[in-house]
Amino acid sequence: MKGPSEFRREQLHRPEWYLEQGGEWHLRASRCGACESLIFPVATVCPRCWPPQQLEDVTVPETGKLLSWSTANVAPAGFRAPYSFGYADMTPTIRLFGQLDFAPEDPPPAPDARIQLVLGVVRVDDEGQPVWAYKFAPARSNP
Amino acid sequence: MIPDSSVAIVGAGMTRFGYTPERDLRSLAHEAVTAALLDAGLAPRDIDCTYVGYCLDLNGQRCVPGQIVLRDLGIDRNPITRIESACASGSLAVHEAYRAVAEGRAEVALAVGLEKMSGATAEATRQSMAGGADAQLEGAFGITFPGVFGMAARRHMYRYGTTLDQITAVTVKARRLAARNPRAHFAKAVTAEEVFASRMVADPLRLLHCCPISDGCAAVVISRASRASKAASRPVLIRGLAQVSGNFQSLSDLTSFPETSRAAALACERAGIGIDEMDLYEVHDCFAIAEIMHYEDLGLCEPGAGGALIASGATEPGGKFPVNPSGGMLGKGHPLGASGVAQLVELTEQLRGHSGARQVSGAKVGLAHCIGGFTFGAPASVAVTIVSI
Repeated sequence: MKGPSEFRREQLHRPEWYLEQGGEWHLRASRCGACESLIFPVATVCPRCWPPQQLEDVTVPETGKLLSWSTANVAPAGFRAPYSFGYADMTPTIRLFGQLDFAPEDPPPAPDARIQLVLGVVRVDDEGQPVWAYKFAPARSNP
Repeated sequence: MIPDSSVAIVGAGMTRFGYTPERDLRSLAHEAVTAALLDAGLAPRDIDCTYVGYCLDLNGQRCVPGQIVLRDLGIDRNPITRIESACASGSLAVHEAYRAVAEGRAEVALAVGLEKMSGATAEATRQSMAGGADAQLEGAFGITFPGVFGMAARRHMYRYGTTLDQITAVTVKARRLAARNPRAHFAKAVTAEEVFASRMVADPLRLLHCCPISDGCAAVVISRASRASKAASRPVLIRGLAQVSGNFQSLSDLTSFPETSRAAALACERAGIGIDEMDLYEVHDCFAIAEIMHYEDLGLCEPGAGGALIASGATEPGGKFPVNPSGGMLGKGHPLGASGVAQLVELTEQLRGHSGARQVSGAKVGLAHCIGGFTFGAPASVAVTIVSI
C-alpha cells in the first residue's frame, strides 16, 4: 500500500497494525509454526493449535477476494454516508472488513472480485480529524 | 444438561412494542413484569432470582438496570443478574432462569427482556448497535447491521438466485401478521410496491426490509409446572434449549449461519422433538433476508431454497411451517434485549390458544430462535428454545 506524501503514521486507525518499508505500507500478521495459518492482527497464540506454538512475523497479502459488499446510506457517528464496504478474504484464515475505494468510473464489483489493499480515509475522529486505514480497490493486475 | 421437562413458563407478559420517547425503562418494565406476575398468580416477593436481558445502554442506565427498574415493583434483595449477548440477550435470560429452577437454585425465577431505543440520536443508536460486531476491526471501519445483511442478501442472490421479490415477500408477510397483533410496532400492512418504494438503507435492502427502532419489555415467570397449579393460566413446558457461540475459525460465505443448525439440532435432541414437528417457529427476522437464511439453516428447506419457501406460502400461519405469526421483528418490532423474551411470550400465548386473529390453529409445540451479535460472517450467539403444552 502506498501512503500519500502528506500522510503521517499517527493518522492510522491502530498504527501498530502496519509495517512501513520504503514508503510501502503492509499489514503485520502472524504465521503459526505448527499449522502455518496466518492470523491478523498479530497474535500471541494460534486459535487452532494448542499448546501455544512459535509464531512468525509476516505480512498480509496485498490482494484478496471480495466476498460481498453493501452501501451504507445512513451512517454511525464519524462516518459520512454513502460509503460502501465489504468482506475480503486475503488468505484462507484472514478475512478483512473494509471500505471500498472504487472510482466512479469503476464498475460495481461482482461477488468474488479481486481487490487490492490501499490506504485511505475511513472516518473522522472526535476532533474532526481524518482517520486512515486499509481499503479495498479493484485489483489492477491478475494474481 | 438433560432438560427437566417439569420446568415451565407459568406467567408471561409484555408491553406493546413501538417508538415511545415518552416512556422510560421503568414504566416499560413495570407493565410487562406486572402482567407476567398476574398471569402466573404470583407476587413480587415470590421471585427467588431474576435475569435481565438488556443490551444497548442508550438511555444512560449503563449498569445494574435490573435492580434500578425493578426496585419500585418490590423485586429486590434476591439475586438480579444482567445478561448481555446483543439481540439474544433476552433469550439467554430465559435460559438462565430455566437453569436456576432446573438446578434447584430457585423455586420461581423471572426473565425480563428490556430495551429502550428511542430518545437517542440516530447516529448514537447506529454507533451503539455497531458494538454488536468487533469494535476495532469492523466498527471502526463503519460496519452497520443493515450493511451486514445487505452483504448477506447480495451473496445469497448471487449464489442461489434468490430474488428481491422473495426477500420482499418476508416483509409483506410480517407486516400483514403484525397488523393482527395488538402489541406490534406496526399496525398497518404493506404491499410489495410500498417496500420497493421505501428508501435504500443498505443496498440491496430498503427501509422496509429492516426491523424498526423500538422500545419494549417482555417478561416470563418460570417455575416447576407443579408449583403453577394455583396459577391463573396453563403452564407451558420448556422442553429443550441450546446456546452456541460462533465458529470463528471457519469463515462462512455469508449465505448461512451454521450456528443456527447446530443450536436447533441440540435443542431438538434435548427435547426429543424433530425440527419439522413444530406447530410454529418464532425466528430472528431482523432483516428480511435473515428469515430466508433461517428457513434453510433450521432445515425447513434445502440450502438455497428459502426464497422459494416464502413464495410458496408454506411459512404462513396456515402453512406447513408457520414462521413468525407474531409479525416477527420486521412487524412486531425489535427492542434488542426484549425480543428473545417476547418470542417466548408469543409462543406461550399461541400454545394456550390466546392469540386471537393470528392464532395458529391447534398449536401444541413451538420453537424460538434468536441470534445475537455478528462478526466476520458468524453470529456471536445463537439461542434456540422449544416449548410445548
